[in-house]
Amino acid sequence: MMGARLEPHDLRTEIARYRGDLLRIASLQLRDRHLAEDVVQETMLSALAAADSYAGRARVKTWLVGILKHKVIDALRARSRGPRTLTDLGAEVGTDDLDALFDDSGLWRVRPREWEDPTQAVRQRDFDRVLETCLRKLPGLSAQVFVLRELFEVSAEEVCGLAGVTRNHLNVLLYRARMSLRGCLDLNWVTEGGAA
Amino acid sequence: MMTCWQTSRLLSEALDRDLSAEEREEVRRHLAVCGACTRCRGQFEELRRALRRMATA
Repeated sequence: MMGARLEPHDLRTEIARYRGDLLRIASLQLRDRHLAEDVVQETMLSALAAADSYAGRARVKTWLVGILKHKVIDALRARSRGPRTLTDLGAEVGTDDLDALFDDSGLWRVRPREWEDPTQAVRQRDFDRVLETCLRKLPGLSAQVFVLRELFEVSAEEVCGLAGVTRNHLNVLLYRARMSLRGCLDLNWVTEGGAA
Repeated sequence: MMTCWQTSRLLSEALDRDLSAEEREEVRRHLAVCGACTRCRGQFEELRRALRRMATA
């Protein structure tokens, strides 16, 4: 719904309609189903309480995701234990497996495929479905910082603070996420030509 | 000339910070002759568009 002035009852219905979408987004970021449920519940309550002030300028979903973003950030702050140690970060900030995607001369071992432009609605839904499966396969911290950065559009500096990582580690985590996702889509998103 | 390995890292960082003039020039020179890295850049950008789409569509 864009621009339309919604009656309070209609807005409540709209808010309820997006619960599933909000839960998917919160779960992708928090990687904790229970915490995601709590955060979405708080988001819906805040939205209902603020329904009178919803001016209808933004799409309902965009407005809700804006509220969810703040609730997710609050949850991350509440959970943070200060800077992470290398043990916490585990293998995710190591680069051996990422470096191995290239040969000794620094050339791609498997060259990226040409992606069909996924602007056609059906193709786009297919792309988004595969992408979500690929996102769930990412290591936890890489997925968390990637969703903060790309979906919630949090600045790199703020992501470092929220995740308790240095800028260099963030660069590796985001690189890991992007390289893993592009590789996963290269393998699993079947283009119309049929080649996978 | 940068390798594909180095270029792919800068292509990722370019989405999170402003590259220096020197880095931008190195990337430009590499992409001018490398289809694989050009596709990689398009894929990184497509991932960004898709995540933003999840927040709105």
